[in-house]
Amino acid sequence: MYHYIYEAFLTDPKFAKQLSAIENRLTDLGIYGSVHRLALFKTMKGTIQDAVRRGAKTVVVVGDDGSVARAIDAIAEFPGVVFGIIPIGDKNSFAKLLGIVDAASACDILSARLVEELDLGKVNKHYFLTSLNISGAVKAECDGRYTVSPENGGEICISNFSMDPAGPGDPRDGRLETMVKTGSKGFFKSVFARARSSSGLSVFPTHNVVVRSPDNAQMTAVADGQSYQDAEFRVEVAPHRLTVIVGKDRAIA
Amino acid sequence: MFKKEEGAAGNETIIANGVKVEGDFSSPGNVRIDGTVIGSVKAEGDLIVTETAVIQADVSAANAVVAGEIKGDIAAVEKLELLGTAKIHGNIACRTLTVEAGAVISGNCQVAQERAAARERTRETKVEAAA
Repeated sequence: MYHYIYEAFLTDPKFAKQLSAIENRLTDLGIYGSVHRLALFKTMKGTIQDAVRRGAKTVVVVGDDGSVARAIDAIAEFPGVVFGIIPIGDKNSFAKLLGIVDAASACDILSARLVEELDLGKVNKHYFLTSLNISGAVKAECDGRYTVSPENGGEICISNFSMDPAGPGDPRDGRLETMVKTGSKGFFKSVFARARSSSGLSVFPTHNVVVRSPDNAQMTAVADGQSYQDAEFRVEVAPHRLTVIVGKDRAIA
Repeated sequence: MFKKEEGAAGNETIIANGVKVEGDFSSPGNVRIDGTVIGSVKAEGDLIVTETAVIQADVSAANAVVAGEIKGDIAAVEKLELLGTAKIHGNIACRTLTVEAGAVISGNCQVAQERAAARERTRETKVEAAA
């Protein structure tokens, strides 16, 4: 049975028509199931845990990138549960990455049920699909064998599934790409449009990375748009942790 | 299948100028070093050491092209190419060595062509048998 988790913002009347169309299409396809609506005290994590406890084998999130990121963090605790996405809202880059262009086609993609097993990244206790950016970091210890440090400060980005087609990060290779950029901030946003060899971008294929703050100060890490604060971030790859329904036009970014 | 554009990273490691790596660094693929490495470097693929690179480490790779400075021994399974700006302060071991004018080598150099050596051994055996 399919369990659909509706993001809280979908209570806005402007989504009523679109939701109705989705529900009709799901019914036509014979894959309509149990609906859970998120609210102020009904969190994504608690709802997914509850659904899996009730025997859910397929959990579908109806929402945007923020919904997908929180759902992945929760569903990664239950390997074998299949994850699906129906994108609604303004930001749906994760769905597009998986070949799910819009809500209408998402229903047919769910019905076709083309499943991929993808690696996830794990930072401390949280899972992420795409990448992790750590600001204020000065040194990264990679695979317990060597350390990497930008000599005059820089940024550290750890990629599992690159949003950029030319960027490093394949979610099926069992590795994370640790990237270190010396120089200007905001670099990672446009870096892959340029040649990497002369750009000042270092790339290290790794399995686990530890980033510590030099003076035990709090650092901020942003993974899949979710922010975390800590003095130490332990990042590792979780191979084949996410079983996800994908579209034909999925792209490794 | 997922699609991946040509030229995407794969197993390639890049150590850019301004980045320092300390420890035992190894890579299953190709490595390009523009920055600083202290410790050891092992590349199962090809290694490029550019002019800006400073390496204080023993280095090994399948093939290597060196334009920078290496303080340590360097071993290439196949071919080692030293460009004019290369400075090697250590021993060299490889199967094929190319040295451009201007390169500095301070150490022993061992170039062993296994096929040629094997051919030589075969010839010697035949001569002995004929005698």
